[in-house]
Amino acid sequence: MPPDIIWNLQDFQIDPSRPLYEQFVEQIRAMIAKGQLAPGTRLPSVRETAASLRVNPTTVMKAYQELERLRLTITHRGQGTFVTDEADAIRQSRRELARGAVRRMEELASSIGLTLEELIALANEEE
Amino acid sequence: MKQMLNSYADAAHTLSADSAQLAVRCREVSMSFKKKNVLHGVSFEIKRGSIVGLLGPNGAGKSTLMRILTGLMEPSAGSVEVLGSKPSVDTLRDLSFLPDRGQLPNWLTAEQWLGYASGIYPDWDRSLENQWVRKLEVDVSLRIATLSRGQEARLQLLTCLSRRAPLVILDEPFTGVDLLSRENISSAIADEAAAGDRTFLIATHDIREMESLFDRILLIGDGTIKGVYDTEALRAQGQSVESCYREVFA
Amino acid sequence: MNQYERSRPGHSFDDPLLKMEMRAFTSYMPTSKNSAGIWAIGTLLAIIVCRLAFADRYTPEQIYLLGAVLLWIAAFTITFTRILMLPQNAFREWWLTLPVPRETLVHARMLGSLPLTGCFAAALWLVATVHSVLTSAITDSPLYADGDRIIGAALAYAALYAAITILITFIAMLVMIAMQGWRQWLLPLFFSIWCIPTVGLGVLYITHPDSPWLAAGRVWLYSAGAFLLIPLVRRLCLNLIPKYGFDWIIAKRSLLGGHALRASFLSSRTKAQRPNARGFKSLYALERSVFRNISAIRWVRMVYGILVLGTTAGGFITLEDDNWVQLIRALIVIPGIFTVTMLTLRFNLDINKRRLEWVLTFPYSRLTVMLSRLLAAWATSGIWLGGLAGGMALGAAARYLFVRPEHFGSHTAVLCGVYMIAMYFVYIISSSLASTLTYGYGNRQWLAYVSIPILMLAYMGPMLFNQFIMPESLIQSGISESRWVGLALYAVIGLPLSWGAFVLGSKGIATTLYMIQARQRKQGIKTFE
Repeated sequence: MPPDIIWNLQDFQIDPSRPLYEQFVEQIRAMIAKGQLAPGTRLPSVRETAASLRVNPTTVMKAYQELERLRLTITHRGQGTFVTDEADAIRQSRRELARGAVRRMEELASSIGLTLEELIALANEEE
Repeated sequence: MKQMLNSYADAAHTLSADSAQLAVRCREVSMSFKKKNVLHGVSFEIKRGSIVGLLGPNGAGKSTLMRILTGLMEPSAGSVEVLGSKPSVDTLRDLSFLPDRGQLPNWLTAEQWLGYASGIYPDWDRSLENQWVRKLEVDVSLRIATLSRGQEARLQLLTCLSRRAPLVILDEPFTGVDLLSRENISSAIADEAAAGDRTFLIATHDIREMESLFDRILLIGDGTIKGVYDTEALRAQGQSVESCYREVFA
Repeated sequence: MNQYERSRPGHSFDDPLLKMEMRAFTSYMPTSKNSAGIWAIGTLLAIIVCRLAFADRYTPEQIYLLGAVLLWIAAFTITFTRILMLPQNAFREWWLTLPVPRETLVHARMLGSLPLTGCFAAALWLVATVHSVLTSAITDSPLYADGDRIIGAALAYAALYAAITILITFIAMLVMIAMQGWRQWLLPLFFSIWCIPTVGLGVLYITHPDSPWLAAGRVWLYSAGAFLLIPLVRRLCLNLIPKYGFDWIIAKRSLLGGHALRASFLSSRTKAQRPNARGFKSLYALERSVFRNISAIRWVRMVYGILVLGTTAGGFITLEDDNWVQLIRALIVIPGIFTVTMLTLRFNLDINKRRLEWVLTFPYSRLTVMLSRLLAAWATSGIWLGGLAGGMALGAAARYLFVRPEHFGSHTAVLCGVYMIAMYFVYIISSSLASTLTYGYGNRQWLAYVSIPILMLAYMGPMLFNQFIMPESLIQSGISESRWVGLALYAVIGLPLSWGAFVLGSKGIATTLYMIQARQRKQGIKTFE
């Protein structure tokens, strides 16, 4: 069974000074959360991913294992790795994503001496 | 004296314990020629199944080190183990080597060369060959003399990968190779590394092209190892392979 | 306005361009202790060989003439090979785009090789002069009795050598204009200039020992004539080469890369079949493929065809009395020289193209790899010689059938033929085995010194054989028992010895890689050749 998608390097924004596996997990997770990767989509194999992204296969494997641990993907023996159908897991990851975004905004707000609410209010203020 | 014997026994013990997982082990390897020290005190290990980058400026001793690993040269001091034994003709059976700027017999067509190579290398795999001819897009009906540098580089890599040798040593597989061929080649290396438990040792100057491919990097300069790093560990500290290289050599 | 334009073409020896041209040859010149030693040993060896080979059978002038012939060939060859290598020279684009008029480039190149050729001329002159003085001192030969004659010859030939050095270098430079277009028809002219001195060798044997043609008086005239020609040829070079001698350098890959080769390239693209031998057979087949490829080149086929026709005619003509033995004697020299030369060329090409590392990392012992190479060279020599011998046999058969001579071949002649073939067989095997030693000395300097005379012997073998072991008179005198014993001894001692040299050379062969690396480190990578 061929994968439903083939990745190329443009699908990812890779920063060479951060652990690659983390970045793959984050970005694939974001793709799933955004619905860019629909539930049930078959992911490319580790080998295909390593070859098309020109990345160390161990790194890809580690990223896949992490996704599996986060219950975002499921591996069926002999068939490949699929994006999960469980709405719960997806919702959970959307929540994580939202929390992360809020945390970053809070940091930004506090760096200019505001709370998050004040920051949003400031942004919405009319000219 | 007794103590010394003991430490030898210990060394021998750890040796036999580890060597099964090691593709390459160098201990205090030195090489001098005509009173010139080309390598001194080089020690490192390469685990099986990893992709290791050998990085360093020109004239650092990379090619000499690779020649020692292939058994083309014998070190003046120190010990070298490749796949658990001393480099020799026997280890050449399990080792695929791509020499730096080496040319293939250019009077042959690529197909003829592959034919001879498949007879010469006992571990040649015809189906692997077909696969790589397809993936690396090599026109085998052409004379090697008429190939461009990128085409010949791909043919050379294809020669190395069509063998089932568990250890692949590539000395500058990218010199003078165009961008698309470079991508093609590094993608083939990742692909092949994922397919089995082959070990790759790659000397290159193309750090940006290759850095995400390496598990580990060996930095070599002035004939000594300047550092051995796990690439993901480096990145966890906020360093890229490139910035690490700059830090060590600049 | 740069300095080159002001002083065109550069005359001063401080000229950086000229210095650079000369630098290309410095490593071959007696500039360091090592190379001076090699030159000294070479000269000494040449004096000994000269003394042994010629003794007092030839006049001093004839020896000088032989030197002049060698110098002529050397001067032409040095310049000519440099021109032939131009398209492959990695530096050529740099050279062609130097901000200097082409006239200056040509001039610097014309002068660049003169010091090396000059050294060679001086060495030859020294050999001939020492030989004359030595012979006159230790023998009563009438040819060497006259001191004035020896001094006269030494001076006159010194002038001639100087003239040849310059004149022939310049003439060989002119080949540059004949590399492209219709002017290629001039190439045979240059080839014949290259070969003229071999006629001189004939003169060496034919002329009366006291021929006035070789005497000092006339030689002064020749030198004067040559010196008068030099400015003329120089002018020709400086006027013609810049206009007609440059375009081919970029356009062509090499003389071999011309149309002849390209045509055979294309045709064999479709014919090429995948070889399917395994193991050692495949290794051997790969080595053989080099020679197969050479014999596929059209002009090589043509030349070979002509040679076969020649031997057919020769077989026809010489099947009378014992003349055919002489033909064998002449033919058999070819594989004798060819085998070692081929091996040396192959090896050097493998080094230059960095192919050696591929070959040496094949999963076979060095011995096996080198043996496959030798076997391929032997098989090729055998096959090519077989064709020539076949032609000769065909000619002889035709003669036998149609115009049968009354008397062809005695028992002695047949034995003589067998002896010569056996001798050369042993020689070819042993010399090519032993020549492997020259690549494997690596760190062992003493082996380097041993291997130089071995290689020299390997090359001079045919000449020495024809001089001493099988002179022309052999056919009349027949093969004495001691000759057979000598041959047997040569085989029994020489073959194992050369096998030993082969084993030693093959084992150390990878050190060549290191030698090259060390040399490059010392001299900088040689791009300017």
